Amino acid sequence: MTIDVVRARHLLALPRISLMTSHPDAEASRLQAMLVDHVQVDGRSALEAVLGRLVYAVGDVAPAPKTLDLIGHSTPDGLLRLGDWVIDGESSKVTAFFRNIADIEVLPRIGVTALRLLGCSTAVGARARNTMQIVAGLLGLEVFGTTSPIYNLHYDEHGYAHAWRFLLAAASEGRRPLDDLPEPVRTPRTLDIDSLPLVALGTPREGRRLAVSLDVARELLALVDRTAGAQMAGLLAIPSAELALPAHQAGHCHVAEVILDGHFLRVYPDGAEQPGIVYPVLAPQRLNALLSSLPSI
Amino acid sequence: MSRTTFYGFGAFVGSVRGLTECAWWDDDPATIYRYAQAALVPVDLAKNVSAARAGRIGWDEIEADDHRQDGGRTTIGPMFPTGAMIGACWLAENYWARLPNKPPRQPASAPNDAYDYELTTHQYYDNEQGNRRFYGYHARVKSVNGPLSEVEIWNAGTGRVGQPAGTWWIDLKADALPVGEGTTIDAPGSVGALFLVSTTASTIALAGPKKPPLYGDQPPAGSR
Repeated sequence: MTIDVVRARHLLALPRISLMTSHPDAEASRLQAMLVDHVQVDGRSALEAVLGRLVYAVGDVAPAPKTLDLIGHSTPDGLLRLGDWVIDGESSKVTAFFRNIADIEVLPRIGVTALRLLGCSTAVGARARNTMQIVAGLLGLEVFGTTSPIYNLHYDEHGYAHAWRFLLAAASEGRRPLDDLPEPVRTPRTLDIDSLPLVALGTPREGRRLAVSLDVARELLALVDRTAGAQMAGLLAIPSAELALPAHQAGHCHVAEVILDGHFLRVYPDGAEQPGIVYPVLAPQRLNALLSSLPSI
Repeated sequence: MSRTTFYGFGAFVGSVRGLTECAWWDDDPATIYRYAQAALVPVDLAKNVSAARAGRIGWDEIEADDHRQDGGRTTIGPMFPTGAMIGACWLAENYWARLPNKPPRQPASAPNDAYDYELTTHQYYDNEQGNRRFYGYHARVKSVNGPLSEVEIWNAGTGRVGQPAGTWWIDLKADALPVGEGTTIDAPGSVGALFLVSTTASTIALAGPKKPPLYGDQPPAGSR
């Protein structure tokens, strides 16, 4: 089916474009009758032609963000069939097609943010999931498949109905074992200054950094319960000061943050990207008095 | 008090009566209930928190918590056919109390694994408690320092049989329900119920409860 510029511009303004197999069976016919704005495609060439028309119609106005919904039956192993074309990630013709439209950025130009393979169980089984991941990798977009059989119940006149989105699975979703539980948090954590990451003294920081000498560091750490380290849940506390603790490597330090009015020190023993570990300060007033005498760097 | 309390149950759907209406057994139908139709628990999954927020039903008409995709803890459905047939269903306390055949708070197949509060959620509304939701956990306060408490927490559903999932420093005033509204612990050494705000529970990736136990469950919504 070809589309003219007026129809193409209408489609570009929609939140989803439904491209549907031209397969003439009862189920497909019911769906074709239901979907107001669908476009029928009977294979790869037709799909390419429709996408070309849409790109041509883009003009000066930015198209609405949308999903590109490919709708058809699937093979027994969950591969979507559009007319006579099976979208199989192991087929070089299929990968070449998606690589080509990615090279000339067809989908971003028409506002497509995700591709949805809407047939029965297109996210179930190794070949189906592999195809989703290959296509997602080629396009640089999220690709969704379905986790169960779907049919006209799951659509309204505008396309795949939002209420049934729980049946969609994304290519980017990793598989989790059914009995997967989070890793236990290693606790308690004992504070060992020398095991903290080395930070160059010149590293930019947002707040004030205080230089701590070896003697002051000993005095300061005596105020901390070094055996009661744990992650802090809830909102992150903004540090009132950053302590540059002495390190054995010249030009470097170990960093500890003072938080919650001196009631806690926070360090990042596993690196800045990992959760911080906080330690209670046994005498916050003495800590704050000590900090007031330290020079900023 | 403007809050709806939910109790968590395993749910094996045994009857579908409409797009969102079903009935389920709270435990294995093969070995525990022998497929007894009288033991099925009816529920309309559309009578949920989202419907109350939208004004389609009153808060006292809620039957079940939202589906996980909408921020709740129910995982069956949310619509049929093709919705999930095995998972969790969190029933509103008032609805549960009106049921002629109430499912037990702890399943017959695992009656001594958890405390009831581990299978409890409180959802506030009308701007009380910031309209937040709180998940129940078994916990122990180890110490208190300034605004934070050092708290040992068990994954939900494992309080009677498992080991703590970890220890965290938590601002109980900010991130938990106060004593008297569900939480029972605050002083060092106290052991019992901790109702933690859902966002904090997600941040520290506490799990469960697994409902039904044979199924996997992820940490609360938002943690993935």
